[in-house]
Amino acid sequence: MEFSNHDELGQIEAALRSGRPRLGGDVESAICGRVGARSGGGRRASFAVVLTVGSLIGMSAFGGVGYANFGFFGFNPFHPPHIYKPPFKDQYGKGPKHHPGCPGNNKPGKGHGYH
Amino acid sequence: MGRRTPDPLAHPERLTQSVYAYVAYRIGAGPDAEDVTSEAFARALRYRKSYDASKGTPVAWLTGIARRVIAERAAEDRRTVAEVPEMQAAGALEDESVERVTMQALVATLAERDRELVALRYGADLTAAQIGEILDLSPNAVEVALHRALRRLRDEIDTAPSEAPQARPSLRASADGV
Repeated sequence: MEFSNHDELGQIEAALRSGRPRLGGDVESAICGRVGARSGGGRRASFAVVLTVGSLIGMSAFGGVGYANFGFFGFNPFHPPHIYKPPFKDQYGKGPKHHPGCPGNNKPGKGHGYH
Repeated sequence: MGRRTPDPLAHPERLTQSVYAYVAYRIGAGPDAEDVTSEAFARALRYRKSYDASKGTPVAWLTGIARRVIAERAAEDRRTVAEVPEMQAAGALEDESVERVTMQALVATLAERDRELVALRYGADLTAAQIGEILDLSPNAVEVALHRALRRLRDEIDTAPSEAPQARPSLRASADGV
């Protein structure tokens, strides 16, 4: 059987790939360990992110972030404390206006001063 | 907003074998190659922030560092000739190891330039484009040079059977046209 030039070189290529020198397990572990130890900062940051997200999920499961926030800070931004307002203010927003000339109004309005 | 540079050493276990294979094809497997690989990773750790993902993959970056370490060691000690493992010792090894030793022995017979190309292509497993960036060649020039290197390797298999008795019987058979 005749092999073409391409086949021969292909076999050599395959042999070079399969016959690649391999690093011993102990040396590989030592290098990876050293690299991994230096990468600790990144891992710590990732761990902090995971912990934060986990905490938020946990808080959500027990009444939501607002509820957890209320427990921690004593203030819930989503449900501000109820402030008593008299019915008049509830309905009109502001206090009663003093219109000049109205009965019982002693204050002069703008441009309506007594001369 | 700038993108965060990826950590080139995020997966060291994938990189160590590639870098070591490159180094071992260049200078021969053994303690020297392990030292160079270790030194390359030590430098990579020191300069990891200088890694620019737009200029190449982590393995190409690390191979470039390993290449510089080899060049510096060669400058210090001119003993850059590959220390080919004793062929007699190969007889006691398993088939896979024999093949490995044989291929290293054959690669060690190549000229420095060919060995570099073979190490980058089949050791570090870089593409022609990546090799071209390291050696300042076009991908096409790399392919041509690699083809020539492989032909010289095949010629070596044909012409030096006594020096490499275990040199891939299947390869020699194919070279003989069997």
